[in-house]
Amino acid sequence: MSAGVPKVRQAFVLAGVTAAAIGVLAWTGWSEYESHSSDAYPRTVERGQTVHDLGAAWGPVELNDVTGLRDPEDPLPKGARAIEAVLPVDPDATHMVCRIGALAETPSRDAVEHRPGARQPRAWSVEFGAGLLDDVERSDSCDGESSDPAELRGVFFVPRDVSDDLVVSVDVTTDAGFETLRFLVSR
Amino acid sequence: MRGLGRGFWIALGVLAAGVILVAGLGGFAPAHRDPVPLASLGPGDVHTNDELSVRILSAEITVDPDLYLEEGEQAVLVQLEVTTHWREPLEASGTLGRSLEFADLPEDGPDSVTRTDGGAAGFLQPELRAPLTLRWDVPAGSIEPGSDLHVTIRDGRLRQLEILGDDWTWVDHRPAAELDVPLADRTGLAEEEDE
Amino acid sequence: MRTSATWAAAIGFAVLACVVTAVTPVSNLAYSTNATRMPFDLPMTLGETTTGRTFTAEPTAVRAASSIEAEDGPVEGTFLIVDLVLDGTGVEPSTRLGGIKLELGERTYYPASRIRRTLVDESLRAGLPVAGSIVFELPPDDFRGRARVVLANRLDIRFDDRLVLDVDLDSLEPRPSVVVEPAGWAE
Repeated sequence: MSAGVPKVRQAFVLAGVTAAAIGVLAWTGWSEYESHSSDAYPRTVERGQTVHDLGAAWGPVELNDVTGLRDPEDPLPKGARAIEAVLPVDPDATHMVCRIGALAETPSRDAVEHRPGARQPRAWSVEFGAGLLDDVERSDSCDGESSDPAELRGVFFVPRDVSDDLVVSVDVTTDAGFETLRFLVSR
Repeated sequence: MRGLGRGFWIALGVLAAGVILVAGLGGFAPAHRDPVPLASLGPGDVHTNDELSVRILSAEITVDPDLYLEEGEQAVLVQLEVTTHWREPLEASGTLGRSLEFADLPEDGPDSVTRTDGGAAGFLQPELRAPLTLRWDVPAGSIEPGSDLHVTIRDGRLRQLEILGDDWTWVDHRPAAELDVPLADRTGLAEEEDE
Repeated sequence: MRTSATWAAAIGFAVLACVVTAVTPVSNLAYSTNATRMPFDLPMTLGETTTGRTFTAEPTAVRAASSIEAEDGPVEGTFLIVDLVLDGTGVEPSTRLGGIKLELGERTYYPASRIRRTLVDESLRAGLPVAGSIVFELPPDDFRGRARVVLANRLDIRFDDRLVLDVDLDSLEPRPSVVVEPAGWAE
């Protein structure tokens, strides 16, 4: 027992330290949440729209069925399609790095409402070497070296029963950080 | 006893018990093993340790065109068989790099480790004998064809942390055996010299 | 309590704790690897499809070979071959089986790298199943007993699915000149 320090002062010090600890913990927790808040509310672009965000003008995204462009010696399974997503992008400046992340189905109404047996949405990633025989140069990313307008192109292999309502996601890294843009599109 | 207090003597007793326990478990044994004379082997002899068994079969220095050598280079090839006795697969080139030492050849290991019957060496699998070929690309003239390649085989020790997980690693590879393998001359230069 | 009794009790409890830890099986210890990795093992059955989080698998046959026919001649050895149809679930846009292994008693085996064009590292795309095989080479004298084939995304799986198939090696007779079809689209 520390003699000489009044109990009241001890109580104040204790309260102060506790309050400070609560404050620091609360602030750390909140700023952690804040840095991830865009995960819960990703930036979504409606069908056919263009948008200016994250240092570039984007859209509108288009889907092309390029199954016919594939080498006939190397066919996809019956009913499967090769779908190409084309996304125009016009960066304001350099240092914006982007890449097409995935093509995904949007959740069906049943899935959103958590009905049993609802089909879960599926996602596909860009094919390396999609085996297309045309001469088109395809790049699924921008490397931030130039600020010229460009077209991101990614080819995906999807099954016959793929949903008509899809979303193309693009991962963007700027000096401010990392974000994902989602472009709604229909087949 | 008087004056020091009972607590002191109890603490000393516990400490003494601890020391006796550690000594009994070998904790005070010298950390370094006494140097053991290396076993002397020949090509074709099997050397076995806890980690693996290895048998150096042959060695050659060659300019075989199938090897796609650079201008002015020759390939040293060593053929061996290795079997791991450990219960998990071990990555082949890293394991051989730790267990085998070749005098006069670059210390950071061979340029490639492949299966003698074709294909990547991959992993050494438990108790499965693998015929492997080690290859170094060396400047022509740096290694004398027909000379002996001196090989040192090192034995590793298993270090395991069973209580905190099943992590393991083979460490502390120390020379245990040595052999000389003559480097068969496939350079074809001897024929050229006669012209 | 008397001081010496306190000491005796404390030391006694410490010793007791050591004894209990020593006799507890490793997998039951709260801080052991198995408890912290917590894979979810889903048993597979021949002819049936088992669904994991990121992929599905249907084992169609289990075979044994004393030599396998390859493009440039027979490959000699004792092999266990599991024929499978694999599919992605689309939960993650790109999936591959990076953690395939065989557990036989205390030992673990990885697929034989001598045998090419197997399902090892094959890309799995949702809705586009692939058919092929995985092949393990075993020491001829040890081709007996019960083995377990494990399929997972990674070797070190944490809180995720492993699809497992029990195989009775005693019931298999290694045959010569076995053909292993290259992995390709399932049809």
